[in-house]
Amino acid sequence: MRIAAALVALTLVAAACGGDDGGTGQGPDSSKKTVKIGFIGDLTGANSALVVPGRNAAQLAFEQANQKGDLKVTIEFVPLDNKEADPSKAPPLAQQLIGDQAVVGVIGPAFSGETSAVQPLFAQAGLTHVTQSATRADLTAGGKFPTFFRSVGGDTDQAEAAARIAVKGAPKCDTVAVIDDKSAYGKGYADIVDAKVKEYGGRVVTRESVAPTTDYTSLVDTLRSSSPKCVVYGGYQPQSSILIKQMRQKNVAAQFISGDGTKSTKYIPEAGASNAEGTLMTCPCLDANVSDEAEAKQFVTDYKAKFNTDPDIYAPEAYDVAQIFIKAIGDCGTDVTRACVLDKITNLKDFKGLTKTFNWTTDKEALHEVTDKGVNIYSVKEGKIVLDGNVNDIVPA
Amino acid sequence: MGIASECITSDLPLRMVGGLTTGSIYALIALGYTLVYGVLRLINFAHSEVFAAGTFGGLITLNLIAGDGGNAFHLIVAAIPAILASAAVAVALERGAYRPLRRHGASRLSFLISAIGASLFMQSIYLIWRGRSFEQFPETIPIRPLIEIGRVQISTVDIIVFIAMIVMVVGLDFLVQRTRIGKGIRAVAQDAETASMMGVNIDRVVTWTFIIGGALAGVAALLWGLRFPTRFDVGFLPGIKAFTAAVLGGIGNIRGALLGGLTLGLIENVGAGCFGDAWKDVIAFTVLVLVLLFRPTGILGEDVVEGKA
Repeated sequence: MRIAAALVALTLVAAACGGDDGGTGQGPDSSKKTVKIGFIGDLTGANSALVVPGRNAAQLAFEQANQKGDLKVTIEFVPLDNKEADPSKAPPLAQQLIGDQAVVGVIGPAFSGETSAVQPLFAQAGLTHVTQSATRADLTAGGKFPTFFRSVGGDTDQAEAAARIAVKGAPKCDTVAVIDDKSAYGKGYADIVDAKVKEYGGRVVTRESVAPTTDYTSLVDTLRSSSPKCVVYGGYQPQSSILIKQMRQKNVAAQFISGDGTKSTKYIPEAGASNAEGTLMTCPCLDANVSDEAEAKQFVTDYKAKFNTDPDIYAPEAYDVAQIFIKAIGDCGTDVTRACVLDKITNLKDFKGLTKTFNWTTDKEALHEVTDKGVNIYSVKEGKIVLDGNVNDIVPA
Repeated sequence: MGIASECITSDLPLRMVGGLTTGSIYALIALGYTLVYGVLRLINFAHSEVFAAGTFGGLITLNLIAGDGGNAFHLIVAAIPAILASAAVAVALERGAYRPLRRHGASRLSFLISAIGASLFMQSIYLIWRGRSFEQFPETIPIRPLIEIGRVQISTVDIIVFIAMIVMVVGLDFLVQRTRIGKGIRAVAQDAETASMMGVNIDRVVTWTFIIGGALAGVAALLWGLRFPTRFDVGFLPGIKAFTAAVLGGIGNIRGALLGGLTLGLIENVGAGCFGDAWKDVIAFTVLVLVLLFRPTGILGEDVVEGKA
């Protein structure tokens, strides 16, 4: 078995080399020095659907940059699999990258737990890492890790957006029910929604925490009793699908609002199209597939050509992070060091990406957060998730 | 979270319907625990997997025959594979996980471990077979409210679930009290050794007990599918709740399972209104502890399968 695998690998290598030799000569230029960009995330475990699109997008960005050839170095992409996103297994992977002097930057880690586990290591090594999707609010608190950058808004930002849309936006909900799934993410989201709804003058008529279940009978009865105009749910699909279905079945007509945990392609089919219709979702992410921007459309075309599938969640964000590294490496010229990359990224100004224009916060409370949080509002219209736009454009803060 | 008066006065009728419907399903599953306990003095912790098998039997059949929209006829047809699937898994459990232990006169602890192992084994099989996603049943009975009196909503599904449960319980009572199989079950429950000496085939009686308990779980599974989706671990929560219901009513006691199921469903749903949904399970188990403190054998005691009712 092992021999067979080795043979297959050899054949593949041979085929790849053959392809380069016989190709148009656009392969990596061997006269150039190679620098490496790492990537840490769950590539094969239960959460891989949230991470693989980002890995793919980054790979695409680096291949495009190498092919274009105007960099003074060649970039090698080194994705490492932290299966199941286990925080305790992230530090060895970080050490592996730190130990390789050719590594000048890292994309990720993808999730918050693994990110907080490696922040001190990367800070000590002076190695810049930019996450595309770790959204826990406190990762940037206190300014302890100047090597860490976050390219998306945190959970605080999208929860605030949910409250803003509910109370000040089109639903104009003066009464709101706030529900969470007892998870760290869901409860954090709901707590902020709860506080912000009150701040914006709305009334929270129901505040419930219900662990994932299939039977939401009693919760739906509670909603029938308190009859809120909006129901905000902090939690993940499939629970959101099950909940909205049972709400609609009992004629609870309240506007349903949820976060990025619900923004899954399975949300509508599992809820039933008529039940899901009108749902609003907050997400600090850009769904490139439904964007009208020319660059986003080009990205979708390129991504599909290479990976034969639509770029899913956090792919555009990871693509932007890769572009930020490419720009920094380009600006460093021939002398690409960790210190130079850190310096260039720290001083990044008005960098226009697919998802937003990048500037970093400099205050210690939340160091190196992207200033434009890029929280978008999505809605379910005619059985599809469509992009309504940036929350600031829909309801100014 | 208006504690006290409001949740009892204005919300009680609103919450009764949901409580009774969910409680009916608990009752049907609880019967399976109770029957097996009555005969073998064994808690069949893998009974939740028997229930899950029924949901898959029903789901696959309904997907085949009903497609996007079905009717009551499809539901009745789907009851057959649901019942067969649950009964088959129940018998397989008895043969694979319990009978070998009985042959060797193993301790109660071994049965418990075997039950948990069998449960995990079945769940893994469901997971590999069906994946992690929830699967929705095609709608066969309209679930939208049929009758609305004030804020009380009653749907066709609520009515069907309740009636089906009553019919099954009455049928089971008849089966146990009036038929040959029932006589065998009661004999083994009372004194297995003596029954065996009198010529009762114990293995046959045990198999029939598992078949009957499984069939009831199959009906519960199909009724479950009228409102909720299924997946590999669907049996866990209703299984635990039904076991609680069986103990609450008096384990080994058929009418106790009915009473326990309905009581638990009601307490949960009404309690969630009074103290908040987060406390739903806490309330249910607090009531269980309180009942057992004063009546250690449950509300109705442990005796009906043995024939005193």
